[in-house]
Formats: sequence, structure tokens, C-alpha cells
Amino acid sequence: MTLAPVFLGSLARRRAATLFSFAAIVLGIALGMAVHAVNQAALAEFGRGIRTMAGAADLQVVGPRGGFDEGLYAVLAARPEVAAASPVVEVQTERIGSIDALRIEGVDLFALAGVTPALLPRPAALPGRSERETRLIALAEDSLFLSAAAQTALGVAPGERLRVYAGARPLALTVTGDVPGAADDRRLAVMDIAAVQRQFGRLGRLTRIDLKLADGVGVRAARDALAPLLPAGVLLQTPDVAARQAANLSRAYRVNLTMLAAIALVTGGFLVFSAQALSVVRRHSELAFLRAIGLARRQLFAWLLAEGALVGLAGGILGVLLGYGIAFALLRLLGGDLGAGFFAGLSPTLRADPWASAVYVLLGAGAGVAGAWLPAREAAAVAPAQALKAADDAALSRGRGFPLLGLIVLAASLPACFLPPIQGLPIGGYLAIVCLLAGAVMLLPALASVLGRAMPLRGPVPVRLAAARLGAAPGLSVIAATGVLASVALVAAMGIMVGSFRDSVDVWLGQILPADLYLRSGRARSEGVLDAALQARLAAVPGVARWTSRAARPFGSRRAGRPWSCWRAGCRRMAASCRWSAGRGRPARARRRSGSRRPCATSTAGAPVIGSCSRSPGWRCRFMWPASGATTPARAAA
Amino acid sequence: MLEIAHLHRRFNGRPVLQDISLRLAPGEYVAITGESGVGKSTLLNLIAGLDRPDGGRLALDGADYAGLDEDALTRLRRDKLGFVFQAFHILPHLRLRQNVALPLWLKGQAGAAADFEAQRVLAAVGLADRAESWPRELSGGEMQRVAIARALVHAPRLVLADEPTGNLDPANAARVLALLAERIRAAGAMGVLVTHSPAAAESADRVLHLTPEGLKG
Repeated sequence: MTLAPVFLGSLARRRAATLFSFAAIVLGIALGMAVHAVNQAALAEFGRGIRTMAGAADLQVVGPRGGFDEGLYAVLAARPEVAAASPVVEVQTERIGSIDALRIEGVDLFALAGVTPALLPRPAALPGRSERETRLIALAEDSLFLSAAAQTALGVAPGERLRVYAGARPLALTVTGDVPGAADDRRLAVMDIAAVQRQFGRLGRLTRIDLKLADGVGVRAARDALAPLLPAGVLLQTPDVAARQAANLSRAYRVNLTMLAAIALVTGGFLVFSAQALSVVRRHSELAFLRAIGLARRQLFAWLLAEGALVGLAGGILGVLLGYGIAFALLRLLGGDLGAGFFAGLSPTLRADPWASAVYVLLGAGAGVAGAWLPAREAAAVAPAQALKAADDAALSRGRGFPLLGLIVLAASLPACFLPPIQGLPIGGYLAIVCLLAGAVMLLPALASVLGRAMPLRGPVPVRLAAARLGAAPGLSVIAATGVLASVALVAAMGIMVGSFRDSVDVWLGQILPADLYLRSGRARSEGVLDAALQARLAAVPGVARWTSRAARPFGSRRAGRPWSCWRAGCRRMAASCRWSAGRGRPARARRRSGSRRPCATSTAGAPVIGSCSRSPGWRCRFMWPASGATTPARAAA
Repeated sequence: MLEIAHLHRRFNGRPVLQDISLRLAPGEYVAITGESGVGKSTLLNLIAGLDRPDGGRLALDGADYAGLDEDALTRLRRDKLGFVFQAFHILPHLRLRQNVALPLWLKGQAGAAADFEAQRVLAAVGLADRAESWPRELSGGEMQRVAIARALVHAPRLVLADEPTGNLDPANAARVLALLAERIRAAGAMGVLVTHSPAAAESADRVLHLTPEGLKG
């Protein structure tokens, strides 16, 4: 470290260049860290909620939001693999006069203790109510138990009434106690299962059964034994699947924002490169002198890398701190999903993640080292005797780049565009962007040389000098242009990506939702019902030429993490067997189990295939993923 | 002792130095003069181990170093050679004391011992009170005195000076040359001064003239 003042001190001599590199790295790290911290906080909170809801359940039987026949509960509870089973009806509603959604768990109070004791409600002792009444109050049809966080959020206390929607119908419930097992910040609402079934029109239906397996029975064995008993559209899954699905929900925004952060970081790396390369050119004779008096080649290389690493490390540390600050502000202002609505109702708490912080700090240092690598290598390769000559300042910049390799890399971007997604991510697209960028940088000196030599040596002296300089030292053009080239190219690529995504969604929405006006039953739309009388009144509204009704019924695939939606259309015009949306210009196909293929409508949506089908219960088909050509069996259940 | 025997160097097939021989006794200070382009700097680079001869022998204190690898030559320069260049090469972001201590830092010596040595040689060149100054606060003559102090701080066996007064006015040049000769002799080192100036060469014990035919005494 004795030479630290010699090299690190030189950073102070070029404050502006160092500051720009530093700022870009801080920005990239801060944005990446903030996105990670926000998402981790939301997922951690979501996971805690999942664990509260699942309790000691080893497996969960889940169906579509419309539910499945409650007879399945009796079948499963009687199985020897099952030690205890707890049926649940989950409904989504909202308070009248408010837009906040409220999810109510309808539970069997007598089966609850063995599987999910955290959901056990506790009746409040209210004046004028006997002890016996208090004990039985949980079974009342209008009795609702709210966790402390839910009571605070809704502004109600035990004994007070809460008016919610049951479909399009108002329903008055009484807050009769709390849920002591819920976490402090968990908004939880619990009712008796029979009351929920009656009040919300779910008689005979369940949405979930929590299963605790008998001693000695493994999850895999139980799954094999119980799966054949399930009707179409009903799945067996472990409780952690929901957490994974939540992570997938937020993946799109995480990936895109992380890419933005990566752009800033890469730009920072290129700015470090520009700053270091210019610095090395300017310190040409100084570095040669150090080599002459006994500084080894590898020491020079290491110290020049250390200059870049210091900028990156400092940027990484400040970026991580700033990232946590941004994450804190985002959680307070927008919530864990940055306002997207994936994790509504959660109040995530920001927690420091030492490992992730260390990784982001190292990423910052890595960007600095990567940017400093090439200038350091070139500086270390120069012979000191030659570099000590005063006229050799541009020796580092005479290179013509790598035009042939640049052309090859540019050409490689084309096949990269056609690579299939990996884990659902367009890695090939990102690779194509990198190839375009690297190819352009490699070609730049050759282009600059040609341009410099082609320019006529006429006009003002500064112009003539610039042209001569460009022709003689085209490597300088790389130093000057790479930072700008990288940032502009990457931002343009990101803009194109976001723009095409928005365009695709616009076109897709135009196809899926072609009407002029839509009316839905509220945020709790899957529970909402527009009854026949209301529909008749809507049809009679002047100016309505034609109308259709539809009920959204999400149904799941057997492959976790790929939620699909099936729209059941009540309109006969939509009675065609299926209609699928797929990638732009690439027709998706739906295939009946019998094997017959039927090409369906071409559409322009993004990768997840979303179908519109009618008369769907029991209808079986295979989804073909347009990007990979893989097919997935699915069946509509409700 | 420095021994140079039958040294040859070619560039692109053209001979630049032919059959150069020289012996330098301990404590001896020699000046090499010659026309521009005759190969003075090339000879200095060969002696310094910054360039490799095409033939001949180079030995310092009996050890041949013409065929050493790059790492060994780097160590030789670091431990046994001192340099004074026409362009002073004073690092602008280091104080004078730090600039002078640079060769000691390269040898792994730092802290109080290095500071003490730097202060001692700065005093020897008359800059004891400027140790904490920045290079921008110095005149050209003072800068070259700092460079002389830096060349001697690690007690080298051989000091090589390449046109050390090329950027100085005559009065300052005379003072610097006298100081350089005095400090080399005081340190008991050998010295090689390369210059095109006959006046500068007079400060040395012996003057040699480099011609295309060789080194003449």
C-alpha cells in the first residue's frame, strides 16, 4: 500500500471525470439495490402471510376462484394419509364507499386448531353479552373477526358494523373480535365457513383445503395417493408454491427495473474506461518514469486497476446506502409492488440484507475494475524507454480497433435475437444488445480513421488539426465516444423494449377488450355478480347498441408459476371454441386432447399465452408457447 | 564498477551503436557528449536496462545484466540505479518529501524511516525547508534539485542523467550540474551524464564523445 498516494492520489487530479464515473455507478447500484430491497421486503411479508395462512399444513388443495365441490373435503379427510383437514372458502370483497379490497377467510372453527391455529378467532367480551353468547358469536352469520392491523386499516373496533359488497349486494357484518395469531402488520379477516358460503353465494363450494399429513407419510407419497381423487382444475400443492407464484408476479417489473439499473452500471463502467484511458494517455510519461525507476509491469497494471476499483467500490458503497434510502421511500409511498397492485394489503418492512448489499458493492467495484482493465493493460504493455520520449503521447491511441472482430460480433447479434427465452427471460435479446454495443465500439476506431483521412484539410485551423488528429490517432475516438455510445445505445434499446411491450399490450387489449365501455362489479371483481336485473337495466340504457357479459375465472396450470386467465363469455358471438393470444405475428394454436390442431387468431401480446374461450368447464386443451413451441396441457375448471 | 564491452544496437537493421566499450570505476563521474541522433539516449537506455543490446556485455559490480529478464532488470533499476531526466518527472499530486521518497516506496520502505531519508537528501540539495511544498510552488531549478535528491535517496550504485539541464537557464544549469556532481561523489556512486552541451560535460571527471564510429575519450 506504500504506493497508494502515487496512484489513488491521481484521482483527485481529475475530479470531474472521476465524479461522473462515480455518479453513474452510484446510480446503477442504488437503483438495483432499491428494486431488490423493495421486492425482498414485499416477498418476505407475503411469505409470512402465507405461513400464517398455511400453518402446519403439509399440502394444500387449491382450485379456481370459483371454488370446487365441498364433497371433496369429506373424501380427503377420510383418507389414511391425512391426519387433519381444514376447509376454507376465500372471498374477495370491498368495503362500501371504499376502494380497498378485503379478503375474508371462511374457516371451519372446529377443524382449524389442528392445521392452522393462527387463524383461530378470539371473540371480544362486549358489554351486555353473556359468556355463552360470546362463545357462540363466532358462528353467527354476520360475525367477522379482524386482525389488529385490519381493524386499524378499516377504522373499526369490535362491536361496530362493517358494510361490504357480496357481489353487487350490500352486506352488513359485525366486528366481533380479533385474530390473535396474525402478525402485527397482517390484515386478516376471518368468518365462519358456513356464514361465508351463505352470505357470498358459495353454498357447497370450497376454495382451499389445508391438509396435515399423518405421521410417516411423505409429501410425494401423499400427492401420488390424493391427486387421482381431485376433479379437473383442482391442484395439490405445497404452501411455498404460493410464495413462488408471488415472486413470479413481480418478476416483470423487477427484471425491467434491474435492467435499467444495469444500464446505469454499464454506463458507469464505460465512463470509468473513458476516464482511465484519457488519464493513462495524459500520464504516459509519468507512468513510463515509474516503470524506469523500478515499478514492475504487473504492479503498474494492478495499481491502475485499483484506481478503477476504488471509484467502483466507493460508488458501490454509496449506491447501496442510497438504494436502501430509495427503497424506504418507495415502500412508504408506493408499497412493495411499486404501485402495481400485486401485493395489495401488505405493509412490508425494509430489512438490511448483508449478502445482497455485499454483492451490490462488489458489482460496483467490478464495474470500476472492468472499465479500468483495458487502459491498464495497454499502459502496462508500453516500453518505458519509448514512452519517455515526449512525442509519444498518442502511442496508446493509434490502434485501429478490431474491425473484423467488430463485424463478426455485430453479425452475431442477429442470431441472438432468435434465441428462445431462458426461464422466461429474453436473454437472447440482451445478448444481441451487448453484441451490437461491443461491435460498434470495436469498429469505431476504423471508422474514425477513415473519416479523419477522408476529411479535406481545409477550413479553420482547429478543424484541420482535429481532422489530422482523428486520422492519426483514431483510438482517441473510442475513448471519447464509448461512454456516450454505451449510454445512448443502451437507453435506446431499453426504450425500444418498453415501447414495443406497451404497443403489444395496447394491441392485445384492443383485441381482448374491444368494447367502448366496460362495467365491472368492483375491485373484488371475481366475487362480484352483476345479477340479471342489473343486466336488464344496463341493456335498457339509451345509447347502448350492444352489450355482452363475461365472468373472469382464472384457472391454474399444473406447472407452477404460470397463471393463466380464461374468460368465460356469455356472448354467443364469442362461442367459437377458442381464441388465443400469442406473440406478435405468430399464431398460437390450441389443440384438443384428441390431437386435432386448430389454428387460432393471431395476436400481438407478449409471451404469456392468455386464452378466451366459452363453455369452458371440463374443456381440455394444450397451450403452445409461441416462443419455444412447447405445449402444456390445461383444462378449464369452472 | 560499470563495464561496457563491445556493445551493439540496431534499429530496423540500421546500426545505431557499434562496438561501444567503457569502464567506470567506483565514484567516477563521466559525461558522454555527441551530436543529436548519434545514439546518446540509446546508450543510456541500454546502460539503464530499459533497452536490450543486440550484442556485447553490460556488467555492474561484476554482474552481467545484459541478458536478464524484465523482472530482474526492473529490480536492478529499483535497487541500484538512480535517474535524472530532462523533464523532471516530479509527480504533481505528491509533496516534495513524497516525491523524493518514491524510490524507497518502490523498495517497500515507507513511514518514518523513508521520511527521514527523504528529508536528509532534501537538506543535502538545499531544500530542507520545502519538504512539505507542492511541486507547483517550485522553480525549474528547484524541481531538478528535487529530482537529484530523488535519484540519490536510495543510495544507488550508478546515477544516470539524461540532459538534466536541458530545461534550465545557464545560471540554474551550472548550479544543478555542480550539485549533481557533488552529490554523486559524496554518495560514492558512479555517474553517467549524457548531454549535447560541452559546458555541461565539463562538470564531470571525464568527457567521452560518442560518434557513429564509437565512443572516443
